Amino acid sequence: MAILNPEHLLEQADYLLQARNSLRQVRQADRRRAISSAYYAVFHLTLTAFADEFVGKSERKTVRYALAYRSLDHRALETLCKVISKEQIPVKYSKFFPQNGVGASIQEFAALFIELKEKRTSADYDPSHWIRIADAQTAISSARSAIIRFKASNLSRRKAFLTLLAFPPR
Amino acid sequence: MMEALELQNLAKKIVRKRMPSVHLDAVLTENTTSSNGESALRITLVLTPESVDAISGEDALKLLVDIRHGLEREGDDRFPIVEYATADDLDGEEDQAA
Repeated sequence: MAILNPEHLLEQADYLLQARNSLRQVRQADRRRAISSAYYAVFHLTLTAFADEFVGKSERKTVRYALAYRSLDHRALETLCKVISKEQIPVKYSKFFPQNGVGASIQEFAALFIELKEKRTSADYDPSHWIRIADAQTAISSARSAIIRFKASNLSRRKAFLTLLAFPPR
Repeated sequence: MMEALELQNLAKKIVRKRMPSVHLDAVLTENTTSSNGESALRITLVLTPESVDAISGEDALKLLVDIRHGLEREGDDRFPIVEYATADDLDGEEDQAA
Protein backbone atom coordinates (compact mmCIF):
# COMPACT_ATOMS: atom_id res chain seq x y z
CA MET A 1 0.00 0.00 0.00
CA ALA A 2 1.35 3.38 -0.94
CA ILE A 3 0.79 5.52 2.13
CA LEU A 4 0.41 9.21 1.29
CA ASN A 5 3.19 11.23 2.82
CA PRO A 6 1.61 14.35 4.42
CA GLU A 7 4.77 16.37 3.82
CA HIS A 8 4.50 15.68 0.08
CA LEU A 9 0.98 17.11 0.10
CA LEU A 10 2.28 20.20 1.90
CA GLU A 11 5.13 20.57 -0.58
CA GLN A 12 2.55 20.36 -3.36
CA ALA A 13 0.60 23.13 -1.61
CA ASP A 14 3.74 25.30 -1.36
CA TYR A 15 4.38 24.75 -5.05
CA LEU A 16 0.84 25.83 -5.96
CA LEU A 17 1.35 29.18 -4.25
CA GLN A 18 4.32 30.13 -6.39
CA ALA A 19 3.39 32.89 -8.83
CA ARG A 20 3.14 31.73 -12.43
CA ASN A 21 3.43 35.06 -14.19
CA SER A 22 5.33 38.34 -14.17
CA LEU A 23 2.50 40.09 -12.30
CA ARG A 24 3.20 37.77 -9.38
CA GLN A 25 -0.42 36.67 -9.28
CA VAL A 26 -1.44 33.33 -7.91
CA ARG A 27 -4.63 31.99 -9.42
CA GLN A 28 -7.67 31.29 -7.27
CA ALA A 29 -7.62 27.70 -8.54
CA ASP A 30 -4.11 27.25 -7.17
CA ARG A 31 -4.91 28.91 -3.85
CA ARG A 32 -7.96 26.68 -3.48
CA ARG A 33 -6.04 23.51 -4.28
CA ALA A 34 -3.30 24.56 -1.84
CA ILE A 35 -5.78 24.79 1.03
CA SER A 36 -7.31 21.47 0.04
CA SER A 37 -3.87 19.81 0.00
CA ALA A 38 -3.08 21.21 3.46
CA TYR A 39 -6.34 19.74 4.75
CA TYR A 40 -5.68 16.34 3.20
CA ALA A 41 -2.15 16.29 4.65
CA VAL A 42 -3.67 16.46 8.13
CA PHE A 43 -6.48 14.05 7.26
CA HIS A 44 -4.21 11.37 5.79
CA LEU A 45 -1.77 11.68 8.70
CA THR A 46 -4.68 10.83 11.00
CA LEU A 47 -5.81 7.88 8.86
CA THR A 48 -2.29 6.48 8.90
CA ALA A 49 -1.91 6.90 12.67
CA PHE A 50 -5.32 5.27 13.13
CA ALA A 51 -4.61 2.21 10.97
CA ASP A 52 -1.08 1.88 12.40
CA GLU A 53 -2.56 1.84 15.91
CA PHE A 54 -5.32 -0.70 15.34
CA VAL A 55 -3.91 -2.93 12.60
CA GLY A 56 -0.20 -2.26 12.78
CA LYS A 57 2.51 -0.53 10.81
CA SER A 58 3.89 -3.86 9.62
CA GLU A 59 0.51 -4.65 8.01
CA ARG A 60 0.43 -1.66 5.70
CA LYS A 61 0.29 -3.77 2.56
CA THR A 62 -2.67 -5.86 3.70
CA VAL A 63 -6.33 -5.47 2.84
CA ARG A 64 -7.08 -5.39 6.57
CA TYR A 65 -4.97 -2.26 6.90
CA ALA A 66 -6.72 -0.68 3.90
CA LEU A 67 -10.08 -1.53 5.46
CA ALA A 68 -9.17 0.26 8.69
CA TYR A 69 -7.69 3.21 6.80
CA ARG A 70 -10.86 3.67 4.78
CA SER A 71 -13.18 3.18 7.75
CA LEU A 72 -12.58 6.62 9.16
CA ASP A 73 -14.59 9.46 7.72
CA HIS A 74 -14.29 13.21 7.91
CA ARG A 75 -17.39 13.58 10.06
CA ALA A 76 -16.18 11.21 12.80
CA LEU A 77 -12.91 13.06 13.06
CA GLU A 78 -14.66 16.41 13.10
CA THR A 79 -17.03 15.32 15.88
CA LEU A 80 -14.18 14.25 18.15
CA CYS A 81 -12.04 17.28 17.32
CA LYS A 82 -14.89 19.64 18.11
CA VAL A 83 -15.24 18.18 21.60
CA ILE A 84 -11.58 17.91 22.54
CA SER A 85 -10.61 21.34 21.24
CA LYS A 86 -12.77 22.86 23.99
CA GLU A 87 -11.32 24.16 27.22
CA GLN A 88 -13.92 22.26 29.25
CA ILE A 89 -14.01 18.71 27.93
CA PRO A 90 -16.84 16.41 29.03
CA VAL A 91 -15.70 13.74 31.49
CA LYS A 92 -16.82 10.95 29.18
CA TYR A 93 -13.99 12.04 26.88
CA SER A 94 -11.44 13.50 29.31
CA LYS A 95 -11.26 10.35 31.44
CA PHE A 96 -9.40 8.56 28.65
CA PHE A 97 -6.56 11.07 28.67
CA PRO A 98 -3.77 11.24 31.27
CA GLN A 99 -4.64 13.21 34.40
CA ASN A 100 -3.15 16.44 33.19
CA GLY A 101 -5.47 16.54 30.22
CA VAL A 102 -5.57 16.34 26.45
CA GLY A 103 -2.38 18.36 26.08
CA ALA A 104 -1.66 21.38 23.92
CA SER A 105 -0.40 19.41 20.89
CA ILE A 106 -3.51 17.26 20.51
CA GLN A 107 -5.80 20.18 21.27
CA GLU A 108 -4.12 22.37 18.64
CA PHE A 109 -4.26 19.53 16.13
CA ALA A 110 -7.99 19.10 16.82
CA ALA A 111 -8.77 22.81 16.50
CA LEU A 112 -6.80 23.07 13.29
CA PHE A 113 -8.54 20.05 11.79
CA ILE A 114 -11.94 21.70 12.20
CA GLU A 115 -10.73 25.04 10.89
CA LEU A 116 -9.02 23.47 7.88
CA LYS A 117 -12.07 21.35 7.11
CA GLU A 118 -14.19 24.50 6.91
CA LYS A 119 -11.58 26.28 4.80
CA ARG A 120 -11.28 23.29 2.50
CA THR A 121 -15.07 23.13 2.06
CA SER A 122 -15.16 26.82 1.11
CA ALA A 123 -12.13 26.41 -1.16
CA ASP A 124 -13.65 23.45 -2.97
CA TYR A 125 -17.31 24.43 -3.17
CA ASP A 126 -17.97 28.12 -2.46
CA PRO A 127 -17.49 30.35 -5.52
CA SER A 128 -18.32 33.47 -3.50
CA HIS A 129 -15.39 33.00 -1.16
CA TRP A 130 -12.17 34.79 -2.14
CA ILE A 131 -9.10 32.86 -1.04
CA ARG A 132 -6.28 35.15 0.08
CA ILE A 133 -2.64 34.28 -0.33
CA ALA A 134 -1.87 35.07 3.31
CA ASP A 135 -4.56 32.68 4.40
CA ALA A 136 -3.41 29.87 2.13
CA GLN A 137 0.18 30.34 3.35
CA THR A 138 -0.88 30.25 6.98
CA ALA A 139 -3.05 27.18 6.38
CA ILE A 140 -0.01 25.33 5.05
CA SER A 141 2.34 26.41 7.85
CA SER A 142 -0.29 25.60 10.50
CA ALA A 143 -0.86 22.15 9.00
CA ARG A 144 2.90 21.51 8.94
CA SER A 145 3.26 22.53 12.61
CA ALA A 146 0.19 20.55 13.68
CA ILE A 147 1.57 17.41 12.02
CA ILE A 148 4.97 17.83 13.68
CA ARG A 149 3.36 18.42 17.07
CA PHE A 150 0.95 15.50 16.69
CA LYS A 151 3.80 13.11 15.88
CA ALA A 152 5.82 14.40 18.84
CA SER A 153 2.89 14.38 21.27
CA ASN A 154 2.75 12.23 24.37
CA LEU A 155 2.08 8.62 23.36
CA SER A 156 -0.69 8.06 25.93
CA ARG A 157 -2.52 11.14 24.73
CA ARG A 158 -2.16 10.17 21.09
CA LYS A 159 -3.44 6.68 21.84
CA ALA A 160 -6.39 8.12 23.75
CA PHE A 161 -7.23 10.35 20.78
CA LEU A 162 -7.08 7.44 18.33
CA THR A 163 -9.08 5.18 20.66
CA LEU A 164 -11.85 7.76 21.00
CA LEU A 165 -11.88 8.02 17.23
CA ALA A 166 -12.35 4.26 16.87
CA PHE A 167 -14.76 3.87 19.77
CA PRO A 168 -16.70 7.09 20.37
CA PRO A 169 -18.28 7.19 23.85
CA ARG A 170 -22.08 7.07 23.97
CA MET B 1 -23.16 35.33 21.57
CA MET B 2 -20.51 38.00 21.58
CA GLU B 3 -21.05 41.18 19.60
CA ALA B 4 -18.70 42.32 16.82
CA LEU B 5 -16.84 44.86 18.95
CA GLU B 6 -16.30 42.38 21.78
CA LEU B 7 -15.04 39.81 19.29
CA GLN B 8 -12.63 42.30 17.76
CA ASN B 9 -11.28 43.24 21.19
CA LEU B 10 -10.86 39.58 22.14
CA ALA B 11 -9.01 38.82 18.91
CA LYS B 12 -6.76 41.90 19.27
CA LYS B 13 -5.89 40.97 22.85
CA ILE B 14 -4.94 37.42 21.85
CA VAL B 15 -2.91 38.56 18.84
CA ARG B 16 -0.98 40.97 21.08
CA LYS B 17 -0.27 38.15 23.52
CA ARG B 18 0.61 35.44 21.00
CA MET B 19 2.20 37.48 18.24
CA PRO B 20 3.67 40.63 19.81
CA SER B 21 5.73 41.48 16.72
CA VAL B 22 2.77 41.34 14.36
CA HIS B 23 1.20 44.57 13.14
CA LEU B 24 -2.55 44.19 13.03
CA ASP B 25 -4.33 46.68 10.75
CA ALA B 26 -7.87 45.49 11.45
CA VAL B 27 -10.01 42.62 12.66
CA LEU B 28 -13.10 41.74 10.63
CA THR B 29 -15.75 39.41 12.02
CA GLU B 30 -18.60 37.72 10.24
CA ASN B 31 -21.26 35.29 11.39
CA THR B 32 -21.26 32.26 9.19
CA THR B 33 -22.54 28.72 9.00
CA SER B 34 -20.27 25.70 9.09
CA SER B 35 -20.41 22.98 6.46
CA ASN B 36 -22.64 21.06 8.89
CA GLY B 37 -25.08 23.92 9.24
CA GLU B 38 -23.89 25.02 12.69
CA SER B 39 -23.24 28.63 13.65
CA ALA B 40 -19.61 29.57 13.23
CA LEU B 41 -17.56 32.71 13.26
CA ARG B 42 -15.20 33.94 10.60
CA ILE B 43 -12.50 36.21 12.02
CA THR B 44 -10.21 37.87 9.50
CA LEU B 45 -6.95 39.33 10.77
CA VAL B 46 -5.74 42.02 8.39
CA LEU B 47 -1.97 42.31 8.67
CA THR B 48 0.91 44.08 6.99
CA PRO B 49 2.72 41.90 4.41
CA GLU B 50 5.82 41.73 6.64
CA SER B 51 3.70 40.52 9.52
CA VAL B 52 2.30 37.64 7.48
CA ASP B 53 5.81 36.36 6.88
CA ALA B 54 6.55 36.61 10.60
CA ILE B 55 3.70 34.30 11.64
CA SER B 56 4.79 30.74 12.30
CA GLY B 57 2.48 27.76 12.01
CA GLU B 58 2.82 27.24 15.74
CA ASP B 59 1.76 30.85 16.46
CA ALA B 60 -1.33 30.38 14.31
CA LEU B 61 -2.23 27.11 16.08
CA LYS B 62 -1.93 28.65 19.54
CA LEU B 63 -3.88 31.71 18.47
CA LEU B 64 -6.70 29.53 17.13
CA VAL B 65 -6.97 27.59 20.41
CA ASP B 66 -6.80 30.79 22.48
CA ILE B 67 -9.65 32.30 20.48
CA ARG B 68 -11.68 29.08 20.73
CA HIS B 69 -11.22 29.05 24.53
CA GLY B 70 -11.76 32.81 24.83
CA LEU B 71 -15.13 32.48 23.10
CA GLU B 72 -16.04 29.52 25.27
CA ARG B 73 -15.29 31.50 28.45
CA GLU B 74 -17.71 34.17 27.24
CA GLY B 75 -20.39 31.54 26.68
CA ASP B 76 -20.04 31.67 22.91
CA ASP B 77 -19.89 28.14 21.51
CA ARG B 78 -19.35 29.12 17.89
CA PHE B 79 -16.25 27.62 16.32
CA PRO B 80 -13.85 30.31 15.08
CA ILE B 81 -12.42 30.16 11.58
CA VAL B 82 -9.42 32.48 11.66
CA GLU B 83 -8.35 33.87 8.30
CA TYR B 84 -5.34 35.99 7.44
CA ALA B 85 -5.22 38.78 4.89
CA THR B 86 -3.25 41.82 3.89
CA ALA B 87 -4.89 45.09 2.92
CA ASP B 88 -3.65 44.59 -0.67
CA ASP B 89 -5.27 41.21 -0.90
CA LEU B 90 -8.58 42.59 0.41
CA ASP B 91 -8.46 45.48 -2.08
CA GLY B 92 -7.73 43.14 -4.93
CA GLU B 93 -10.80 41.02 -4.47
CA GLU B 94 -13.06 43.08 -6.68
CA ASP B 95 -10.84 43.74 -9.64
CA GLN B 96 -8.53 40.76 -9.95
CA ALA B 97 -9.32 38.11 -12.46
CA ALA B 98 -9.63 34.76 -10.75
